[in-house]
Amino acid sequence: MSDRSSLSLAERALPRIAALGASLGFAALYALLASSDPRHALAAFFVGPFSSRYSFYSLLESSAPLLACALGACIAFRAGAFNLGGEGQVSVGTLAAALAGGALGGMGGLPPLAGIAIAILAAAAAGSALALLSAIAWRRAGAQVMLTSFLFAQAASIAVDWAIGGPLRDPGSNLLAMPLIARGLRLPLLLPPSPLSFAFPIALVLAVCAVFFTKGSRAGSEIRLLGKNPDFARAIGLSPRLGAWAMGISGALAGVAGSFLVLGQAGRAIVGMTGGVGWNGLAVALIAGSDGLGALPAALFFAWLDAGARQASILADLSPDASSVLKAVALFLITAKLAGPYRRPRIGGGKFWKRREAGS
Amino acid sequence: MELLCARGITKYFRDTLTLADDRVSLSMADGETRAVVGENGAGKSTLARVIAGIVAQDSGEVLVRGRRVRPGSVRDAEAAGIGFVPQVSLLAGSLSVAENIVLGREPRSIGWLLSRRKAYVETALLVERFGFRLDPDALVSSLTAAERRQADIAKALARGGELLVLDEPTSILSEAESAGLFELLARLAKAGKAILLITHRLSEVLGAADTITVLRDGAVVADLRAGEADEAALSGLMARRGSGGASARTAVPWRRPWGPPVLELRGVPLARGGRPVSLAVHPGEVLAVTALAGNGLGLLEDYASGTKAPPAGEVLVEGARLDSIPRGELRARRLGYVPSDRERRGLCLPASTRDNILALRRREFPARDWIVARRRDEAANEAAGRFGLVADPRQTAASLSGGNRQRLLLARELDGRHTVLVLAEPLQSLDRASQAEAASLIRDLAARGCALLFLGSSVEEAIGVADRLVALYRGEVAWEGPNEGAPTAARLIAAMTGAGFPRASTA
Repeated sequence: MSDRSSLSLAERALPRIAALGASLGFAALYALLASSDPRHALAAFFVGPFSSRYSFYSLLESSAPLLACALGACIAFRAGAFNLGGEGQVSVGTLAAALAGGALGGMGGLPPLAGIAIAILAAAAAGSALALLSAIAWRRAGAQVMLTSFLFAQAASIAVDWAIGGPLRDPGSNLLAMPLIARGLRLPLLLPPSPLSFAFPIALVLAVCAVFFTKGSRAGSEIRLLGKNPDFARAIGLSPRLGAWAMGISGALAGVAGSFLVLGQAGRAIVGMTGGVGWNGLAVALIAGSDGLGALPAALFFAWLDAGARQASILADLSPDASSVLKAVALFLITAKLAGPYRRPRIGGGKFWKRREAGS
Repeated sequence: MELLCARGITKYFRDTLTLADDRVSLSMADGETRAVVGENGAGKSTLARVIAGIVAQDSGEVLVRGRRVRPGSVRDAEAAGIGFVPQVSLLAGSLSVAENIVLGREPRSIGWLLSRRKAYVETALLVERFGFRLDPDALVSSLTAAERRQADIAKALARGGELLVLDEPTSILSEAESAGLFELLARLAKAGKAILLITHRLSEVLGAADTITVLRDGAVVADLRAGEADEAALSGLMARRGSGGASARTAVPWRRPWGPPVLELRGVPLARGGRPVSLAVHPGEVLAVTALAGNGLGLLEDYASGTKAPPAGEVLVEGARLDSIPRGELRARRLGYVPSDRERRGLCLPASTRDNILALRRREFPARDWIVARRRDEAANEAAGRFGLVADPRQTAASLSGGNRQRLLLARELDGRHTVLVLAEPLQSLDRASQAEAASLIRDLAARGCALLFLGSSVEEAIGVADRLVALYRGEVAWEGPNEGAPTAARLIAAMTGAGFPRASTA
């Protein structure tokens, strides 16, 4: 891994953009092979999401939870903690937001913005608590974060789905879902009738905060050192709790993503509503090289693939699963070949550029 | 015809700028046990690795029964009959002894399946013939250190067969276990095997070897028969001229320290069943602890730096228990620490030299990248410049050479903000001039009232900076006294190599 500061922004971004371009080329190929009417399918896939304001705004809306998850994954990765529990942390976030929203809806007299803030914070706390379990298990028993975060999250997802579909289910609804949250406690829509809500600007603010945190704060630079070399971090006296902080923040961001899902268009918690956003957030973080700055375009790219596949399945005969295939291709191209953020240090530069070397 | 003849072996390591072996020659006959002794860095291990084909020499040749062995080819060396036992066992823990012994040349049955029966039989025959105490079916991970060593030897025998090269075979064994190992080696020698034994423990050498080669600074200084040598003569031969000669220049007069100790180890055990070690370092003095590899120096470093908590006893910094001080505060202001494992513990290689050099001054320079980048660069340049390290503050530590990495590490830790310093091999990888510079900086810190604990395996370096010296042998204090120059060096070497301890063969 090269020190980021020794490579210019362009040097870091270009190979990633090339890989994304290559995966789009693959998308075209896929459409050609899988569709009986490739011209139509291609147009729907690539242009469809931008064909109307409505579909463009829903693309932005769906990128918000993805971006929040990706930012969380970036921070955990930087600390060297492989938080694979994003999906479950989102899931407990949805439950917490729905419970808080439901409870606050029963009480009157609270300003609506405060109610929304409380619901989002409740979701963040829930996600954070789940992630911290792994940090505690690691500190107390030396259990690997990569394993425990995944296992805890799986268990939590199942429990949350059971709760939403069982004891907390709205009896008046046909859906396996909790009751609708009062409209005043949902995220206000920016441009009705499109689904674009305040979730997107909040995610943007979170991205800016995350970039400042990782690049401009002491804790952020310490987390970076911890992730690069834990032995070194210990030798220079960094607190062993630092890794737990990173996990907690990571889980909190995933929880916030859950609240976006509940407080946005859906307005309620539904069984299975996370739909892999936690895993996609991981992929986005990997594509972005664990860099908050890169997470925004990467999240938009993933949201575009999703929206494109949806459009192509409606307007043409392409399967909606196409987006999964294409995401996998993009992820593979970037992590395997071009600019994986976890490549071992190799003096003498990578394949695509020569790093500056010391004359010693 | 002689079995082994190594002629003019020369090996230069470019990245550390060291001439490990300089025209070294030796020869061996069948059934001969030859010991190669020397201080750390004398070139013993490199010589062994050249003979075993692990390292390719720059010039010179290795002949086995007159046939030239291709340099740097383990396969060729094994085919010629040379088996190598590395210092650190390289057996696969999840396989049985027999499977390890046949690893890479497995006997097959029905085409390609590993025949466990044939592997077992081969191993059992070997065990039987030479009197190993080994169960061929035992998992390697379940073996004790001594049994592992036996398995290493069995494997080397199975692969090489005529000449065994053992690199520091007793470094991880207890006294009794070592004795058992030497009994085994004696049986092998009786069976006609030649044994080349690399060691720095003189007490072992005299009991076990027929002939002794003494290396110093990469060159052969003596080739003796065991009967002609004693420990005093050997330690005299091993000592570098710098420390062995009358070097009043490097010897430092002992001065009375300035007050109560500020770094103390009380009753800390460094070896299983060994006497616990107590040390005290006072302000204004450098206490050097020297030991050869595998004698507890690494553990002492871990305990004194607070990396690990000792199982018993306590470590005090300025009168307070080390583990009661918050680590961030401890390292930022009180305890300077130069780790011997520079690459893993001392530096963060993927980070920039700037981030490395300012790693302890995170409060002053809290942010990276945009916010105070220029101020950080200037501070880093200034700190680095004091050590003659010229590097772009943005280039990674990984891109520096070994010597420059060490300068980077020293520039961070020896900047005068700590009252207590633990320096483990602080002069490693430095050239002579930089070593002298770093040594004088260490003396300056002591003159300003710092307490310094210097840990190293080189007697010469220790004599150059220390006020008082301690030698460790098998995790116990073997000698302690003030620095009186050359006579101290000889005493230290004797104590470090176990002179005066019971000989392995008679234990």
